[in-house]
Amino acid sequence: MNPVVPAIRKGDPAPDFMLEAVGGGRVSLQDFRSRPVLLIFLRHRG
Amino acid sequence: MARVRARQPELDAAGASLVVLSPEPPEDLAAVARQEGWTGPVLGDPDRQAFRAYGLGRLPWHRVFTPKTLFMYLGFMLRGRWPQPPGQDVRQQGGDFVVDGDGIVRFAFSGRSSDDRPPAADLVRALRGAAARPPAAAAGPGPDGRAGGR
Repeated sequence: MNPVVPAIRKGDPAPDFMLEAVGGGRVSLQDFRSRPVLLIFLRHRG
Repeated sequence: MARVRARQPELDAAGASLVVLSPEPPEDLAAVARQEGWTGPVLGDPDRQAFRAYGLGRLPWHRVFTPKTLFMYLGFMLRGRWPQPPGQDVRQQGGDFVVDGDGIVRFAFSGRSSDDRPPAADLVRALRGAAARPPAAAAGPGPDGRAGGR
């Protein structure tokens, strides 16, 4: 388990990730380069 | 999510992508994604690598059961629903981030309690700002959003 890093701030480079998507396939933040992206981190699935 | 979904046309107008990340495995998210009508990518992060990378850890207990969430949970239970399926971590911290086309964070919000989320208007404003920013000017903080570091 990696420790939590200090909070990300405005102006920081966004940490990349590579995660499995619903429906299959892996998705990276890099896949959205060249357009703005809104990342919503849910606390749980609802 | 409903707060953001209601602004979907404005996100589309800004050319923005909406990505949902959850600490659940993807196979557990498919049904709720369908039910809630989430249209963009929905990603499972059961190891919480992305959560940790964005500084999202676990809330202290007194920030989980706020008066607002207790009232909401009571409402769920009165309707015969358990407020949160077993096995989920009620202490997981949530957050919202806007990243521009150059990979720079333009808005950062880490929830201080279980019901702490930014107004959708702030997210839309940050996305518009990120969309309007030419790539050469993308470095350095802009005027939008609330900084993290809480």
